[in-house]
Amino acid sequence: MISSSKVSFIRILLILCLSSAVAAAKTLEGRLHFTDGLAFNLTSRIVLNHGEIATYSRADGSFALYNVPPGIHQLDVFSSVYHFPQIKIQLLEDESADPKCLEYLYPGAKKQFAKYPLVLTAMAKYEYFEPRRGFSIFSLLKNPMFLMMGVSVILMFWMPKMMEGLDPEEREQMKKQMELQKDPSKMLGQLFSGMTGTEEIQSKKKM
Amino acid sequence: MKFWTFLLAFAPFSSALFEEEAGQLDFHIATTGHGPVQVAYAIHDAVITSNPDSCYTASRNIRDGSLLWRHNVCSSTTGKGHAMTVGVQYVATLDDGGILRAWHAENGLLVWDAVVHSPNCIPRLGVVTEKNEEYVVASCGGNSKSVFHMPTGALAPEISGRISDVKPATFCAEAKLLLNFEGSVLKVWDSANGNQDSLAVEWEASSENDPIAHVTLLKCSASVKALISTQRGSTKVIAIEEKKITTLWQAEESLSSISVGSLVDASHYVGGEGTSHDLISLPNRLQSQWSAITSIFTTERSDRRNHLFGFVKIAILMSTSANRIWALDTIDRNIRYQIDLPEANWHRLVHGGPWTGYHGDHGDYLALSNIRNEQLEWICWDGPTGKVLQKGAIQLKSPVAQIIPVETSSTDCRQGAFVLTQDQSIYSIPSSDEVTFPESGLYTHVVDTENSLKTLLLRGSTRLTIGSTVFDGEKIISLAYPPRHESVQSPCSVMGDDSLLLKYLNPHLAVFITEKVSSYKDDEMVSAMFQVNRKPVGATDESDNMEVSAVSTKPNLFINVVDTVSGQVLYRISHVNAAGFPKPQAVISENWIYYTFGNSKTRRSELGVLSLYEGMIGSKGVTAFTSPEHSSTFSSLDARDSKPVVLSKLYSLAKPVSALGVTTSRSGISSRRLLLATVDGQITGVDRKLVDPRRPLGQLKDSEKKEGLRPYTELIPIVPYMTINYNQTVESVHTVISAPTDLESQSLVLAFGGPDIFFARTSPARGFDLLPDSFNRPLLSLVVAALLVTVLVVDRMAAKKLKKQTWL
Repeated sequence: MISSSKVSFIRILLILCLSSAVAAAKTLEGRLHFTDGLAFNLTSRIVLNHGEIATYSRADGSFALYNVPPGIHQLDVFSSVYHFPQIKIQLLEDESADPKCLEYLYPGAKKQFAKYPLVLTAMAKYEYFEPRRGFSIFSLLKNPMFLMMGVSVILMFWMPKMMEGLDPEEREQMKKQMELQKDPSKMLGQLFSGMTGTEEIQSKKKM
Repeated sequence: MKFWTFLLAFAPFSSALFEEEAGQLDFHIATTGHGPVQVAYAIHDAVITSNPDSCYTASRNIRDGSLLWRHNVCSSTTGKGHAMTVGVQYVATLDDGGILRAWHAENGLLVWDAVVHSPNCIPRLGVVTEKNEEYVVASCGGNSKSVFHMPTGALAPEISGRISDVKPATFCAEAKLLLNFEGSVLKVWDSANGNQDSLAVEWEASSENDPIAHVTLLKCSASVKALISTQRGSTKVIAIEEKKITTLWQAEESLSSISVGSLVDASHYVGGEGTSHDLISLPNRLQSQWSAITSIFTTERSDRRNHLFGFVKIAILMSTSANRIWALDTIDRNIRYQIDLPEANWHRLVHGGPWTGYHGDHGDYLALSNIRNEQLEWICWDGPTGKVLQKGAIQLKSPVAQIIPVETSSTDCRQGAFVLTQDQSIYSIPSSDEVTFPESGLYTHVVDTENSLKTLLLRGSTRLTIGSTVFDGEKIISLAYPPRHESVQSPCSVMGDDSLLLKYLNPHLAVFITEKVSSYKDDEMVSAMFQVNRKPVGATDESDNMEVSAVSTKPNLFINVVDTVSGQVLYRISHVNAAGFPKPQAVISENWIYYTFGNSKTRRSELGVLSLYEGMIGSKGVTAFTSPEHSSTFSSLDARDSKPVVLSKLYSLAKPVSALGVTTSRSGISSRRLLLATVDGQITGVDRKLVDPRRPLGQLKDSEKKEGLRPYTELIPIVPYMTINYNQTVESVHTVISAPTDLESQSLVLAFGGPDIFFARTSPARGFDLLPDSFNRPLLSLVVAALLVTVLVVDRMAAKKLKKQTWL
């Protein structure tokens, strides 16, 4: 069990350590630029640890985060237009040591080492809007209703020409079939007689 | 058939917005963020405003009041205030973290910044001109000052003298006018030398409840322009010409401090800006029918559509700090009315009752204001019109413990409440005659002393404690209740193998998020200092009696699903390494619970999803001849039945979340979308299937594929197409609310909490029951007319041909 007097002593020790940590607070510097190397001239908010410490980028793309304590921090650029990589920074207590930086190009990407002072590239522009597809004839052809309509139109022009090419006997047979279709009971009768062979027997009898 | 083909060819279907639709189905109100103006300077055509007790500095156009730019100038989340001053072309700010920044006044670009002092700065700024060069003098209290060259930020030698407070300019020598104010009245004096010679004009600038706090001259010429700011945050810019005062524009800056909001339907009311809104009458209906007919030939949206489909909503927004309620018309985007509340410790907005459903909802609202824990003032008004129905006050003997919304039998005010105080007294609002206590009693709960919950049965004069839960060693940091008007289309979910999962739909559910309160026993650093190093296995002697204590990572965040009738914890899950910022959030929708928190170890936000079920019925369980045993009643007090089966999953998010919301629809048929308001100012929708707790870890089975489940992946992508506020930034959102419309596919979303308010109409499952606003009606009319003409012409041609053939 830890006694309360020891806890008080430890707390005083911690406060002293903390105050020395504040004295060791550093400035983190970096630069934003476009993919073509031009300075990123849109003032954007740059935050550490989701807003615990924040700053803005200057007109020439440079930025500085002040009073950053030692430890591991995550740097994000809040831009609604461009996507910037995320940086994890380890700041050591030794003032002469440069921070160690890891860059994540996108959420879930593999980490890669980044140099200090930081250089962040505006990698891509966010696309919020769906591009409106212009009219194209192929979009009509993909439409099943249009295909059905097209086939019907083709049949509409082609069927009369097909009828003209038929023999008179075949034309008569087609006419009879179309008449049968008007009366479903006759059509069904013919269908069943075809299946049972009664029509053949009747025609043989006639013969 | 040709008609439908053309129709389908030209009707756009999309899940994301088209660029031309941006701003049509949504609007964004951007305030300056700082609340009531306390400091204002004019530079060219802009007025730069700020409030030393806030972190925001902003610039508005003097002519039309449009927001040119706005910046949060505090360099940390602990920042509370700043100082601001202006030069000829630049604006300088110094925050309480000791960071000095210079901004370009015209476009808000950061020119330079520098550290002036360590944190805990009491910021003061001044501008000095020496040898035609401008210098900004910064001080953090005391005698030490830093001087910087304003355009370049170069450190300059110290300038003697102290920084004196700059008083707002109120005297215009050119027009010989002096401005001052008394209460809510602006007084304009004829003045040759800055004295009050004679009173020229007296003008009522605001209401009696909202006196003027600040007046500044912006332009001094033959025509004078001035900015007036009131205590409750209304800002006006007026022009004084020949002793006549006209208001150029007005802005409500206190909309940046909305604490609670609600959407009420106003589709049955008509009226434009400046008129009273009345219920739709026969002449209105006939007029709207005519405008609907004429709109066939145009692409203009008709108001009739908005009223017919229930798109017209009034957003009732309340600010506790400004003591004011606004009613924002979501179609006109104007403030319909505002109600000033008395200055109070807290205000509460009450609407609905324990038994109201969507169709039974009325539009009356009740606002309660607690004044020094001694008096509770209340006001009841009609939400869509703003007409005050009743008001009153009750004297309290002890602080308020709970407010229970109920419906009244009154014809005046249909919204009532029972107020339960800590001494267990109950007060009825409006009055005990109008608000009847149910004979069977009323169950309620009280959240007590930050870590406990007590559930009560109120029956007549008896107060029975049903249950209590104490979260020992923890502190409640967030609460979530299920939405009152949510429609649930089906009580079960059908799985891929045709079995049924019965949803656990308990209207008395609540989610309590608690965090561990650290004590010295839990202090990891302290424990680490007293840790005895563990020797490897086998290295110790039998005689060794070393105490081995290892540092272990203990959970510090707990999600408790509680029944607020019985008080029992139905489910509890813990998380380790939870960070305090951003604040954990939770939302309940149907039988799903979503919650987010930051992970300090991975530096990511995590999204936890719980889905609650009563049980499962197998695929052969329900047939024509068999059905499972079930009870048609549910009791929270039955411990055996009341506990749900919980499926849970944890996901990672790329960005931290400041607020959660879920879309709602009229009948609950449309798929729901989870809305995440992230700290970078985006509001993104995530499909529910992506965060389904039943997403399998391994390969998908056939039944799971049939159901549409996907294999589990930890990271949930935030897709720009699903961002409802597209390229606009909605800062510091703390609440996202949703309301259904009369169309099943459409859902309305309102986000607020910070300097911005955003409203949008969304279609989580695409607009399957609505023609899009951009539908080309003239083209359709043209096609139909062309088809008619074609049919007539072809008919004639066919008749001619037949006649010709017959003759032949």
